[in-house]
Amino acid sequence: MSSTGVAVLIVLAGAAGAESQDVHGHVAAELRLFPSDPAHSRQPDTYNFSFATELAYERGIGDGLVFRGIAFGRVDEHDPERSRVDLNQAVLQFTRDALAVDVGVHTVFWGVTESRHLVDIVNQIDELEWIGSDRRLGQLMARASYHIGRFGSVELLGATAFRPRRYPGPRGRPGVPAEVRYGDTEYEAGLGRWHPDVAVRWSHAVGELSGAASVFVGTAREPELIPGGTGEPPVLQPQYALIRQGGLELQWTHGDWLWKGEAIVREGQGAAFAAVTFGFERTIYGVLGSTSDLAVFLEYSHDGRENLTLNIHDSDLFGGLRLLMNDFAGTEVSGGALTDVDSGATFAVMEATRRFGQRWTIELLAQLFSASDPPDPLYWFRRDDHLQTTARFFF
Amino acid sequence: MVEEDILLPTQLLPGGVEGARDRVNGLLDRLGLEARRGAYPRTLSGGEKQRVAIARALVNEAPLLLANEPTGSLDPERGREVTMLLHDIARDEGCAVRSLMSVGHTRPIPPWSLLTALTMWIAGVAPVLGQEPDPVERGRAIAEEADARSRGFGDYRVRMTMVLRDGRGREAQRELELWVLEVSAAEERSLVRFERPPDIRGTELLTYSYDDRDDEQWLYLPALRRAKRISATGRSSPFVGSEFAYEDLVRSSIEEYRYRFIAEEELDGVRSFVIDRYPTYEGTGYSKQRVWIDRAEYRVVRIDFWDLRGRELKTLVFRDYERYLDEFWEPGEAVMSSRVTGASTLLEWTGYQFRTDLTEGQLSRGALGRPNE
Repeated sequence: MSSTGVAVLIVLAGAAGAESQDVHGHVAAELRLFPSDPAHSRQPDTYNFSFATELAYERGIGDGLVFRGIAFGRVDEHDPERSRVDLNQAVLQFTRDALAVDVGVHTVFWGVTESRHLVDIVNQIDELEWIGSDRRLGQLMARASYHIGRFGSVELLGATAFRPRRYPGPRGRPGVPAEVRYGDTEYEAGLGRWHPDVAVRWSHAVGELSGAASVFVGTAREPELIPGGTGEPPVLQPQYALIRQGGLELQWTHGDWLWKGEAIVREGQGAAFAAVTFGFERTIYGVLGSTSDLAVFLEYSHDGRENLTLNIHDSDLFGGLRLLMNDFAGTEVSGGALTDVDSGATFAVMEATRRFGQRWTIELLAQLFSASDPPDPLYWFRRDDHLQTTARFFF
Repeated sequence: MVEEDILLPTQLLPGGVEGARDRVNGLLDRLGLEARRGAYPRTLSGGEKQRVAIARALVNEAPLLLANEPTGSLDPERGREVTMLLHDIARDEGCAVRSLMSVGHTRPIPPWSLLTALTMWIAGVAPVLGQEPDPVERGRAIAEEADARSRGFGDYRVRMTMVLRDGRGREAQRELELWVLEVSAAEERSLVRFERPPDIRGTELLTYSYDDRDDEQWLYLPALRRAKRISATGRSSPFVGSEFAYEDLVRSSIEEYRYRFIAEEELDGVRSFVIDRYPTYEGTGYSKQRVWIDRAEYRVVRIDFWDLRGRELKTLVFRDYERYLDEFWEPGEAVMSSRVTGASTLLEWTGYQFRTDLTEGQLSRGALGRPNE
């Protein structure tokens, strides 16, 4: 579907005579450097190259109707899983007054917290970009939202053509040292990938308070990975349950302080459970007499599930900083660490971005994994600490 | 009676009292005095008396109206109402209101002042009992007049280009689209959508500005498709690395400053009022701003800024004003220059479109990230 989508995009991009159309995007070259020896012989020793591109196309059709497409592709030196094409958007968007309708492949974000996106469920997480990435895969959907003035907004959504979650392969670094049998994926839903998911969400903002409540009924975005066989590498089989999830988002914006919280209750994946993430973000403007702004984050997550596969949030504390230099080059530096309160397993990320000229940016990303116990998912990546440099050219 | 009172100045006109009846009816209606036509002055409220005075001043179709403390005897609420009314009517009637100043009563009125007032009365102009005005009230009155003239546009869309130069002469560009909608007298919404540099393309900043409470702000991040409610207090931070701070670009309400009239002077050949204003809102980076406003059209022509330590910080100069809808003066460009680093930002506005039927829905958090057709 993705490659067809890209072809459609390219054909549309070439279409002449439209009143308003626009093609833009970027190409990126990425280099990962690894200071330690790999845990597995198939992983790259010291470095890994990768190239990516994103192409966006927009065309006004008239009468409040617009087509938008975004395609993303990556080629990775070592990991065949990371080399792929994702049709991130191919959507017809209609807007009239308080009504907005989207039909096609689209991306929708729900939620308020930074360290974990509990409520956000419509789009599959793209784990292949980097661990903890906020990137989402495009999802085929029909969505209507209506703004009812003083009573907030209501959003109705139906989705199908499920996008399974993919993980970096055994040759990737960081990589999952197991063979995930995507071909044997099991769905609880009779229609499998084609099961229709439905969701409704109400959101509102009154003064300093804003919030949303949502219900999702359909296939879980998070699989359970069932170990099979005894060979090497181990085999994991993804299973997707049918779930019902209620979500709440709340934010209190008070002066320089943002107090945020998200909570879900979910049933269908084993016993029903609840999970919460809450905390604050505080911005200090003009820090130390400079023109920079410094944001401080502190968040706590608790997940009530007994058995967690690839879930590093059972009882975790996150602390982070983000420095916006407000300069010519749009320099931004941020860092944060997520620590499991019980096991002490820690995942730390540092990021810096700067613009060069009008069309180039360079990003630095450092990821550190520290976990001593095999059951913790971070244990897989214990030797995969790395520094990643990305040069991006925008066109 | 009210009607006779208003007709009094028309006795001097060639058409006499009878010729002015229609006009008086119109004014009574416009000022909401229709029902009080036959009332005696002593039965009128303070606000009604002031409205009668306005009607009397306007009945001769005077080309110029000088009002002597038109809100002096009223409470602030009613005072603002009368001020707005005066300007609205004066504008519709083609009468210029100038130097809407309040007069201090502490000093005795010199005889020449009465003579001037009498001369003006005979000339068909409402009297002014001029005095050295209180600089605080006069400063505020000028700011109010400039503010009143810039309101009522409904909505507009404009493209903004910024050329940033740092102290070493390096250049960078920013391009954005700005939409502004007046929702009510006390609420305005604005949507900024970035187009350049390309790495922040599609980023949007939505602001709800209220006169009577804190602003609300949302930031849309296209890479994450995420609309995030952000703190609206970081007003002193530089806007996309330019010499402009956020507070220089958002609409400010009259109540957010204290004012002081300084002088009238010529600035580059333009006769201007000079007023100082002192921000009273939280999060400002300024202790003082000196504003030059041209006397003829109440356009801001220059602002000097002082930082919180009282040092001279920046100078902003507006140029190439053009008039839209025969009423609203908007600048074609502005230059903000740092007095400290030598850096500057040139801001150009192009393609102004007024009254484009923007709706609240188009400037709402639900519309963030959607196509802006």
